[in-house]
Amino acid sequence: MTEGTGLAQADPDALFIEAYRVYSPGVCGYLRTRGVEDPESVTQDVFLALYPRLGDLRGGPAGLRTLIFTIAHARAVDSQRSRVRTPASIEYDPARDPRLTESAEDEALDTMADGLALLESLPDDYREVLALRVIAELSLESTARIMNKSQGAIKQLQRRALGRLKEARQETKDQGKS
Amino acid sequence: MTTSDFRGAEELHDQRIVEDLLTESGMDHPVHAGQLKPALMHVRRIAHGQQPTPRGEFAALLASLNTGPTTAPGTGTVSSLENRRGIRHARLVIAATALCLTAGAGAVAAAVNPDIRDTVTTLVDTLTSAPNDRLPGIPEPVDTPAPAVPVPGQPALPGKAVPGGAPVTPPAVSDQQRGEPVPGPQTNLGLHGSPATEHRAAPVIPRAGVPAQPPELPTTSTPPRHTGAIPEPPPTAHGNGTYK
Repeated sequence: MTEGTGLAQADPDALFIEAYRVYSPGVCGYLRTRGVEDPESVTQDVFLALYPRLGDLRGGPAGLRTLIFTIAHARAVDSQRSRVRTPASIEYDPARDPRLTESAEDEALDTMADGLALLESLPDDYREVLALRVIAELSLESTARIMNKSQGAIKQLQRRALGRLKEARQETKDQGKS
Repeated sequence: MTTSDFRGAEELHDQRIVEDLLTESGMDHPVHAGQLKPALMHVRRIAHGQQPTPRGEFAALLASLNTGPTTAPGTGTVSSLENRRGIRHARLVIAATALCLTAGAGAVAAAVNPDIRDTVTTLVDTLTSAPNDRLPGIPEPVDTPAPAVPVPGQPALPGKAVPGGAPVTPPAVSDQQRGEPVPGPQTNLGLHGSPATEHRAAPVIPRAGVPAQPPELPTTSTPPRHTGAIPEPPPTAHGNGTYK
């Protein structure tokens, strides 16, 4: 179905299991960039919502990817809205917890820490468009549909986002020199 | 395919995604790309995190997909989870029924066994008996039903009808007047000796129709002391044979 991902499955159940194996890390990373509090749990919610809709799937692998990240985007928006309604909580910082030791998950988070820090320095819509294009690997058209904008607007938005990212990198370099 | 080959293919795939984005945005000039490409590769690594460990309902769904057929996708329901809940509910009902039957059988067995029954009876008697507030050595009073006929010494109202009999009149001569001992409680006025020495016998309430036993006679040669009962003055006989 998707070249290089092994999603050429005729059986819907097998397709679902394979889709989870292939896309769940990207969905979880995308939800993490959106500031979702429990990205692992919400990732599973996304796939639970996907399962009944597999019968209506159209568009092949690209359609499957778009459907998955459309659901993930909606869950991220819901999470942001609920976060606004609930009182602010202090984020748990594992680095300050003496009880913890390094785990495989910590190492994985370390490798993504730079990317997460870069995206956090951007405004929300810039972060959103870069996450959908780079992490979710969505096309311009699918990104425009998910963000409810025109393709031209998305093109302009991602250009500005890249310009802002370049400035942030330059500022970081300048701070390192001084 | 080895791990290094996989990593190499993945790296190439990531570079292609980043370069396509830069080209599409018109920022593929080496001046811009030299700064943006490493940054975008960091962002791209976020997609290569670990697969979340399935939990709860999602884990159950994956397990059911791996073990057996379920409702086809598109029907909008995941029937396998409902089936599991139904099986669990049925197990709970069966376990509760078995527990109730076991408890009932145990109760029947305990009722049939005479040893257990005696033990239970003894326990119930012990728990339900009145507290022992009497002095040791003093027998308990005999529980007697209400007399159907007037007790000697207890005058009934003249002319009052006794159930099941004719109106009873008081006896013409009391037992004391005949020189017979009077059964019944003795009154200690404290005139002779201490109360402990004066209570020689427990009061006995005579049963209806059963003659009261006479009090024990003293075994010593000394004359018996006054037991404290005050003899009533002999009734005065009048000419008409009635007493006042």
